[in-house]
Amino acid sequence: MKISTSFLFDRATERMSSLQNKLATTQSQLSASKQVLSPSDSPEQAAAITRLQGQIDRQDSHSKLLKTSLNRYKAEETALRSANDLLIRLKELGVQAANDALGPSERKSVGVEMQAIRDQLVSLGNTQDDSGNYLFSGTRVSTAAFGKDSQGHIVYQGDQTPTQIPAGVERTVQYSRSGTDVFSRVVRSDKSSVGFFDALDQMISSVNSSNTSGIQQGLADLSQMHDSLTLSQAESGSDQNVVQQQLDGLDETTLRLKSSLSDVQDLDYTAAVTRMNKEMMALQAAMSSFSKISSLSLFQYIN
Amino acid sequence: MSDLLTIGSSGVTAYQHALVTVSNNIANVSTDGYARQDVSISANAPTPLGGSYIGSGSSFDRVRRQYDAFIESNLRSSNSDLKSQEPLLSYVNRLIDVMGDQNIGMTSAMNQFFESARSLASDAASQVSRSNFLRDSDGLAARFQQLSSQFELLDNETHQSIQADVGQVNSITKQLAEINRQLTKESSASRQPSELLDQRDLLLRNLSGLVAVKTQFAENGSVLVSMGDTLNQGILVRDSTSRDLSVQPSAADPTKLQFTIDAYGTPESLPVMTGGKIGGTMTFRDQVLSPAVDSIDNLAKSMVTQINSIHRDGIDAEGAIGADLFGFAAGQEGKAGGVRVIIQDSTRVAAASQFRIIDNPLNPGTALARIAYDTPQYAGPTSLATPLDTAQAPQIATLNRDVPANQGYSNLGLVRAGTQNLVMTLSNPSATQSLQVFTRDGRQLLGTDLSANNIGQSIVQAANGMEAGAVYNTDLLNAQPTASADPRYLDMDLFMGAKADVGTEMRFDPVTNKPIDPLAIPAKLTGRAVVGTDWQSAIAKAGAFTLNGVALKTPSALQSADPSVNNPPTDLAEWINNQGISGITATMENGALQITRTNTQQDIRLGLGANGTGADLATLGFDTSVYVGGAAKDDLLVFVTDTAPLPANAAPNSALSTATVTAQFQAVQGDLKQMLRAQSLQVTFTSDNQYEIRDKLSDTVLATRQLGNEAAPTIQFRGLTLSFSTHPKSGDQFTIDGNKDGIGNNDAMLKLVDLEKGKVMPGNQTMTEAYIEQVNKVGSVAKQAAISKQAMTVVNQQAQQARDGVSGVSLDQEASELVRFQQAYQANAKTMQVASQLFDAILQLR
Repeated sequence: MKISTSFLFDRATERMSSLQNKLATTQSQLSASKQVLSPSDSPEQAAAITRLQGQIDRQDSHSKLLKTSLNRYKAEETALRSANDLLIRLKELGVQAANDALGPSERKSVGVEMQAIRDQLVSLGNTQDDSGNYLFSGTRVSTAAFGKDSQGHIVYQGDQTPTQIPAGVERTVQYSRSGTDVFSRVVRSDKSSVGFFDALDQMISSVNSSNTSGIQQGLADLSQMHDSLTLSQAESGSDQNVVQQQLDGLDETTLRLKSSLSDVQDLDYTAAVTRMNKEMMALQAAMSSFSKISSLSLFQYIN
Repeated sequence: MSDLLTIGSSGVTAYQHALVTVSNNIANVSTDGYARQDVSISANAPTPLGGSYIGSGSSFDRVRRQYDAFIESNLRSSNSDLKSQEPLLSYVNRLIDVMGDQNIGMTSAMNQFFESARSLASDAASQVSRSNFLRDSDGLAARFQQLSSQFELLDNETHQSIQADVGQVNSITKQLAEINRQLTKESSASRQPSELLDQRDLLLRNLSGLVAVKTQFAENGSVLVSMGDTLNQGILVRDSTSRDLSVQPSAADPTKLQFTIDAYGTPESLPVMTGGKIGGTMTFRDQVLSPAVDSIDNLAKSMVTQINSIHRDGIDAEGAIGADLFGFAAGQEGKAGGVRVIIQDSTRVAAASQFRIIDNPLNPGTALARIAYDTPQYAGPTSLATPLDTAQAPQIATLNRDVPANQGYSNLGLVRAGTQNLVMTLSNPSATQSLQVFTRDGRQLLGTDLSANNIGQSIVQAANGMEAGAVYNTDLLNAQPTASADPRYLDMDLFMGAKADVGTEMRFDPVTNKPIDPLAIPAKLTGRAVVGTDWQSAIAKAGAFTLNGVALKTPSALQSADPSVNNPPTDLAEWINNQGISGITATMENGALQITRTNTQQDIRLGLGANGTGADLATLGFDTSVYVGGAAKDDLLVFVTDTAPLPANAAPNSALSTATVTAQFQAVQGDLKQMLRAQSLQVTFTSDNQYEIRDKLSDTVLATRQLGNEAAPTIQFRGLTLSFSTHPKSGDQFTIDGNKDGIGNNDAMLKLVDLEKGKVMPGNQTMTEAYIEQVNKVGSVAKQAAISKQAMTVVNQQAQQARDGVSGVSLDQEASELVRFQQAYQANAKTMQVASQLFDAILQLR
């Protein structure tokens, strides 16, 4: 079958230009170090790339959120630790006051220190976080957790709704503790419930008036209060641990996703450079063979 | 004549023509569509000489056009196929570049939206988080608009490209018609000028690149071109006439295009376009772009609906119920390009939930409570029995209902919370028939005591619409307020008996004739004419009747208090007046008892006592009705009972008796959920396993129930679900309210965050997955088109090669032809020279 002259030239040019296209693509891949420059380069992978990128974004946003929430947990931890120290000091003072050897005026000075500690505990209960929300008010975050009523009693002004925050896929973590869980009521042996600060006030007035049975009751109350405070500390600590574990888990997942994405999207340099060399060689061969073959014409030999 | 000179000159002429033809081929080596011309030289007719024939030379016969119709038509169809893949591939690639791009595609905007929902959930009170949330909602709406406008761009571009191509088709067909006209000059194709036929074939090939065509060639080379399914449908060119093709948006669906031939003459519409550039663009429009647009619109619609329904369930920073977050611009409902954020004020973002539960700080137990609300699904009726549910004022409806013989009661339906001023009357009750009104917790509010024959227990079951764990309770039966306390259920105005309200009379200003404040008329209760003497035995029953809350004494009791009183009294009015009740007077009007108030503020209520029945009231001339004053504050279940002894072997579906019930109510306003929010409910554990639910405002006990022994129990009440972290203890108290000030609450926002993972799209997919699947679909079309294009290119090149093999000009071949004919020419010229030399020899003979 004969090849017409125009067909010969057309075909040669077509082949050379397609080789040049391939070479140009390889070159842009090398400079961008990506195999898939735009979704149309690899349409069957476009959906997978979009999905992986979305998942990576989601994990990042979960991480960011958890890191911010860790700050709040730290604020809570500090407040609880100080409250713990204060309660321990109160116990010491209580034991001291229960000592029969003390006289009324000495007891009064113990009472003064106890009152100061009690006021400090109230202000710890009203700790705020970085955004100005009260930590221990439940969901009434703009109101102080503990306030004074007209008789000077401390009343709880928050609510008990526990707040949860999203901590990952299908995972939420307890975020707030209400003031009445941390500074919780005492249940006395006669089954009556007395609030935290009310019990403290009763103990302080027993110390001031040297009422020994009141002081003994107060010591029993204090150990209950201390137990529930340490329980809250433990809960806060374990929530923090959960968040930290989540963060670590998220880091691993993100790493895995990023490497999947890179498998699809990023360039394998060795293969690309080899491919580029191959294509360059092919182009050179096409060009030089074209120049040789196109110069062959019967007219040159007829004279 | 056969002589040397003639023969030689015939050869010279012949080969001169041949050389001209060869040089024509060489000159047209690069002409588009040129078919190589070959010469055909034939021998002249021989002349007879003696016993044989001597040849007389050769002559140029004709130019033969090197042409194979089959190869040519093959090339045309492979050209159509190839040209249809090119626009498809390029547009699909553009589409997927748009949809899969980080900055235009939807996934990054959706992720950003849910990310700010998550960060709002972790700090619900913060104004900064709220305004960030609104900003990212705006970003989501804007991204929908952007994507939609990119689609629109592609739509317009493809439309314009199709229109331009259609114009080109029309100009080609006009030229073909002109060529056909010129071809009519000769009768056979082999006699037609080659150049004309070349032009015809080139035009046909260009046409096939635009649309797939069918052709038929006539004897003289003129062509019939058609576009339809068969050769006779959709004719574009026939003989010297061409028909124009045109394209418009279809009348049925403006997003689709419709092709018509000869729209202004005899229109012929084409069902579908295949092949060629136009076919490829149409395939893109119909099979790729249109479904992509639809899927984005569906995604937008779903997203807006789902987000709005969650948002409407929440409370914003000011304690108001959330409104719609997203909406559509006017005229663009249901389209992705119309998505807009409606809320502009960040305090209106609803993050909190509608209900809140508060543990009492002094609780002896350590259970933590959580609350959730879901629309309750009760068994039993959802409205009053037909036709009573249509009895909205001014309509009245009546129902005749059989009381089944195996049960002793019939369920008349549900009075929904919010129904106003319901009146339900039992006409002509027998001695044992009565209406009964229950709450969903089995508390009987109006009617007669049913504990004796277990009808009460059998009424209180889940199939009748009762809550799980409900128990028959008569604590509040017929409760009426006293001077010191108001024990009524939720302080609702409930009454059974006969009631008359204060009347009003219109008054008009005598001067201006305009209506002024109506005049209050004292309440007047009038019965039917009293018949016979049954009334005497009715009023002689102790504890049968009450009037305005005061028990009416029997005539004998009246007589023992005041011997001057008649026993029996002469008529009912005398009996009433003897009771000594202040504020009313009784008279007989035409044989009927009429009780009138002396003031214009209070109504008259003639009710039943503990021993009274509807039949007793009927002897006094009054029907027994159930009245709900104001709006019902909870769902009420109404029954009609017959306490007559049930027959031993009752046939199924047999009736104990028939009751005629009439009802009317004014509007139904408000719903149970908002009423629950307005109340403050208290759940108190009276023992470790028994609890009561009480409404704090009216101090009514709403339910008393038992709790199981499971470790983390739950309680259901009117759609609220309370879950406890451990088992509560006796003395624990929990308060439920409508969360009007808990702005740190983030339950609604948590539900919004869960929406990211929710399988709300058809095919059980999340929203992100549905979008990615659409990208995937477009991607696989792109992949397919790329593969098709490669295959078509190969086929086209083969066809091209085959055609060029027959009709193409090869310079080398022409060069050798040139040499051949040159030598032949020279040889023939030499023959002429020899002929002339021979003649010279003859001339030189002297």
